Amino acid sequence: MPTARSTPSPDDPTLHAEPPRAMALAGDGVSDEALLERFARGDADALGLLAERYEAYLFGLALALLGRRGDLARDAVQDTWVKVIRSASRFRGQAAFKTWIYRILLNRCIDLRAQRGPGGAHDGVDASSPGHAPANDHAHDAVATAVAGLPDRPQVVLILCYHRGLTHAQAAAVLDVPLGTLKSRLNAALSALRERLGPGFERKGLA
Amino acid sequence: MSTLHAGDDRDDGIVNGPDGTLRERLAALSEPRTPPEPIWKAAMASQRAARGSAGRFGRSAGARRPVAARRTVAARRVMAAAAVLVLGGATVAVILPALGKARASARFPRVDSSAEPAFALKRPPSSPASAQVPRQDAGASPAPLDSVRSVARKASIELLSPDVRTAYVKAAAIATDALGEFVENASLTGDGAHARGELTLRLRQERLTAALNQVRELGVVAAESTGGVDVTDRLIDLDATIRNEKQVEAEILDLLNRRAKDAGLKDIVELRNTLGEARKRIETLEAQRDNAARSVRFATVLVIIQHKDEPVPAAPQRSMGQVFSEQITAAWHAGVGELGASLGWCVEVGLSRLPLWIGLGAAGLAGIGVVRRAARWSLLERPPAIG
Repeated sequence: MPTARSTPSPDDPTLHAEPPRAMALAGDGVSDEALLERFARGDADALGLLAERYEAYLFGLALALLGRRGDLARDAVQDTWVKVIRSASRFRGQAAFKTWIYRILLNRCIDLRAQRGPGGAHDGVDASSPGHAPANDHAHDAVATAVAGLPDRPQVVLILCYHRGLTHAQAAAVLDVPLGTLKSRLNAALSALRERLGPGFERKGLA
Repeated sequence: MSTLHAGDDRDDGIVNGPDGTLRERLAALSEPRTPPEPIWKAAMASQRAARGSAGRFGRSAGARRPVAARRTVAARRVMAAAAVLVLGGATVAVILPALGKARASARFPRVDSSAEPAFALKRPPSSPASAQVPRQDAGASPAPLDSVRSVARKASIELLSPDVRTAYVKAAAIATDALGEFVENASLTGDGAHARGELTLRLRQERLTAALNQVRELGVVAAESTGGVDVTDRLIDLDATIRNEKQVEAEILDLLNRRAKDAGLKDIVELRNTLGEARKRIETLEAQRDNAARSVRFATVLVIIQHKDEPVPAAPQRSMGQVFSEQITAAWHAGVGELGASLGWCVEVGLSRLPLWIGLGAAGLAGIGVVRRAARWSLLERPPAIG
């Protein structure tokens, strides 16, 4: 297990950098599964290409799932890569690589949330935590606080479904539920979120 | 109404307002972020350090097990070998005592009194002289010894008997007065379980074997030994010394008779004293010779009788294998009995407290159901691992 790292400073320029280039599975012509197989045969650079495609998205997702705790998010992502490294030769293509790696990360985040206890994984919005929006973005704070206050399942459903790296179908595959089930859970989560935000959230133009 | 964007299957039905800001806010929560340092490189480095290999990740089918796994395999083999040793030692520890008992039971077989015992005393090849030495009168010249050996026989036998006193009396009665046999010494001490009898019998040598068989019938033989001392040379020496001393005595007596009239008083007294000493030596030597001859005529048998709780059974002849199998059978029956008792206890406890077990089980199931229902909304299930 990697040791926890200190929370990066909010002035860290990399925290507010532009997101990396979008994943281009078809663009550069090499699939994730091909890169993984190449890595399993000893090509360490192949793993670097996979990391270039996914690491930023995984890190962002982990930050959201672990209450903006940079140290925990780093641990979760590192554990995910370790699992990928150890299991590369055993990957049989039962699911897409993307689904696989996201599920590893999700399970690791669930374990870390469970270790921290109820309410510990989501610390609410912290001004010094990475990814924090500018100080005058009250809407962002309100949404973040409301999501952090939801129970675990609807919280994860919301974060996963609105993660830029996943479509709803891919999110359903990661959670191992049918798409219809995911959508019904998403509607329930949104209802709970609206309840927390209050009826005047959208009328006030904060949405 | 929500709008399905091209290339996006989102259909969340959110009334977000014209710009979908809520959707953007939600997406911003998990915005991709480049970590301060490449995390995947740290993972690679940690795996290299853990495996200690030269940059090859992922195990091929022919790869060696990691060091920790090899150590685990070696430890399991050591434990398996230790378990086999312990099992073997336990088996030997169980079997050996049974074999020892079987051996002890077969150690002193009963002897048919009409048959020649296995360790019968050796008789001299022909010992008419040693078996029938006549009583010697003091002063008479002994009969010349022929070439046969003269052996003084000794035997000792230790018995266990539930009735020590009776056995003691019967043992003393073995010595027959008419044959000149006698009880040299006897003692009976203690009472009950502490009773102990000791007898020293002097029995005619030719009757020794039969007498020992009679003694064996009085109890269970715990120990037995026989032996002999060859006194032939001693008897020959004694005879020669006696003849010599008598010759000296005769010469002194003759000298005294011839010089008595003209010898001085002092000389006469000195001769008388020398004659007396010769006579004293002759008497002593003759007594020693008679004692040695008697020890040859009469064997010495030491009988020790001690208490034994159970009555002396007529032990049948059993082989070691029979004894061993009997003990294994008895152990099997005892083990089966204990197993039945243990199972019976389990059934008794289970049935007698059945309402308690049912109540506890129902409460447990109800509790699990309550916890599951309460957690259905908030509990986040872990999707199963892939691969």
